[in-house]
Amino acid sequence: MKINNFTYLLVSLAMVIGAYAVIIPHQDSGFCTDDSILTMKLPQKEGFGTTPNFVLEARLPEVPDTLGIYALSSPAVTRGYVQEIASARGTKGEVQDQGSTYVLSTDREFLSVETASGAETLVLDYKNAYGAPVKELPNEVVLKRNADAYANQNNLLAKGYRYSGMSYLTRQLIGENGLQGQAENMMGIAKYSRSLEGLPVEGAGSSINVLLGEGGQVQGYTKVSRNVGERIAVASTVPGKADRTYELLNPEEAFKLLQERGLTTEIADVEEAVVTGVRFAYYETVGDEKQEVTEPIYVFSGYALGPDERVEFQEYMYALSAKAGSAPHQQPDRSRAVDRNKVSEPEKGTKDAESRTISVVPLKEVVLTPRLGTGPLKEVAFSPR
Amino acid sequence: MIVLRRPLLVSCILIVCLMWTGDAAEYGVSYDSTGGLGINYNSATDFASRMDSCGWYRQFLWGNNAAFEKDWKDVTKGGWDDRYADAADLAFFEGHGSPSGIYFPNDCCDDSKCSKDDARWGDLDMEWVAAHSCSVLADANLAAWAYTVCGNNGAHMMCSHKTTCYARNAGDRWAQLMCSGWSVKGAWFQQHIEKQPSGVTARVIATQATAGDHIWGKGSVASDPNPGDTWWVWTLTK
Repeated sequence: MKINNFTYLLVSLAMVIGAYAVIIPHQDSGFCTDDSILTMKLPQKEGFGTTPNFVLEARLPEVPDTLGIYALSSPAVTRGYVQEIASARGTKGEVQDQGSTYVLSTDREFLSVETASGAETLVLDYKNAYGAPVKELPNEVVLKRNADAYANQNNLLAKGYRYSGMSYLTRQLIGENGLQGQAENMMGIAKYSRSLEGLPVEGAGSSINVLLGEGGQVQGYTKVSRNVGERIAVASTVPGKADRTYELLNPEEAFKLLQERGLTTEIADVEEAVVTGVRFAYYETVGDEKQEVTEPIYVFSGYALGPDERVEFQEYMYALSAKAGSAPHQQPDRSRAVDRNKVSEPEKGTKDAESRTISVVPLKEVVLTPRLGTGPLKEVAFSPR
Repeated sequence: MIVLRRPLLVSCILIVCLMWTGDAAEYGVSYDSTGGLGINYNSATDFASRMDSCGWYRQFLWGNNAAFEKDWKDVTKGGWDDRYADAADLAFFEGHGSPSGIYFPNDCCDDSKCSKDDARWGDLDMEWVAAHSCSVLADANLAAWAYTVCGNNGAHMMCSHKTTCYARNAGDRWAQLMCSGWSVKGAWFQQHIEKQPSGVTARVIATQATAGDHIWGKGSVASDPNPGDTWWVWTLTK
């Protein structure tokens, strides 16, 4: 059988298309579109009157050639694991399973470990934590020295962590017309954070805080830090940088999406939002959630103006075009879950002498709702007295 | 029969003792989890589960379209807080906020905002109130929240934020810590350090005396503040 040149051309073309489909999986316009590994979730909540006019007063960041997407891992938290941490910190007592956390609590110490991430909290004299110190707080140099020594002694700082500043718990008088006098420092919080590819890791995670109370003495710490693993993909504005290259939004597109979407924190009622800073960052979430991947995000910061004057804001946005601008997760409509006409009103309240009796009520088992479950949520039942 | 009288009497006393759970203190929760993550639902209901397990009585738990502004608005202003927010010792709101108020997704019964002008807390039963909401305790209206809403009426403390904050399961941790013996203020700041990102600022307003309050049964509680007592603000930026 004679095959003409045109057929050769067709067969060759088909082979090229086939190879393209097999060798470079899930590529569209050169970018990977399989978002199954992009499991990281940002805290986003649809606003309440929060689609203001946005004004950009910031220089947009330069877009790096590539930014990695990394695997994260957490320890398997068991009672034994928590007992080991307690021993290492010199704390003794029975470890209790309290749902999302294991807790070891004595009269003086409170240790808890989140099962989802291994996030740790240890606080001494917890019943008076964040209270009024008797001795004055020393200066930042002394506080940092105490915090560094404690962090090193207890191997708190994983690879890549650096001191990132001191926060203070302050106290200030409220006068009839607002704040009066100077704020006094009551407590110091030495903060340690880490970066990835030169970018800060934002969110409640990648955060180690040493609490410094009475006379600058260490009162405890909190640590939310997952292990950063291998680079499993990259993000770029140019396709083909790696086997899996996800499209990275450029800052102009990201700002446009922000204008369309509005603010997604618990803020309400703003008319104008002035963006004074735009930057790339990575994101690690809070300790009570699972997280297996971290990817680049945009962070917009600035202030919002409305009837209530000026409010500072910081807004996160996915930097990968596959996810950016996505609406907050939808959930079942429970708006009619409870018909208040069908339940009896509670009695009018009275001022009661609770202290007489409450201490005799025994503790019961705690049943918590699943973390971020996708199943239908339960109806809220009202239980009359 | 005479022989059985004493054991019967002792048994009855024992049964009564075992069944009696006392006049539990009350808590109440309203939340808005519409149009976003269900995390506010978790925060509200996990808070309720923890307080239940701590022996507290649930005065109310209303969410989304069942949560009314009037539940938090003073009776003298046309609300019915004498059956809800102010009928509870501890009230928790989880949803949107601004320096002038907290916002409800349902405006069926009045409007959607319980403002500083609507609320008068503590004139009945409330001791502690928290709004896990953005910027309610920003500088703009601090004095109004401290004196007009809380201090002059008898509330002991209010917890919220100076800046914007992120939707988090704050209620679960706050309740867990309070039930473990942390002070109300200490538990609020601790959950803040654990759950919010760097740059977010939490605030608590109280008098010097009430700032060290623990929930009933878990430590000391100061007596109700008097009108004219000085209020202070504690501020913590993570």
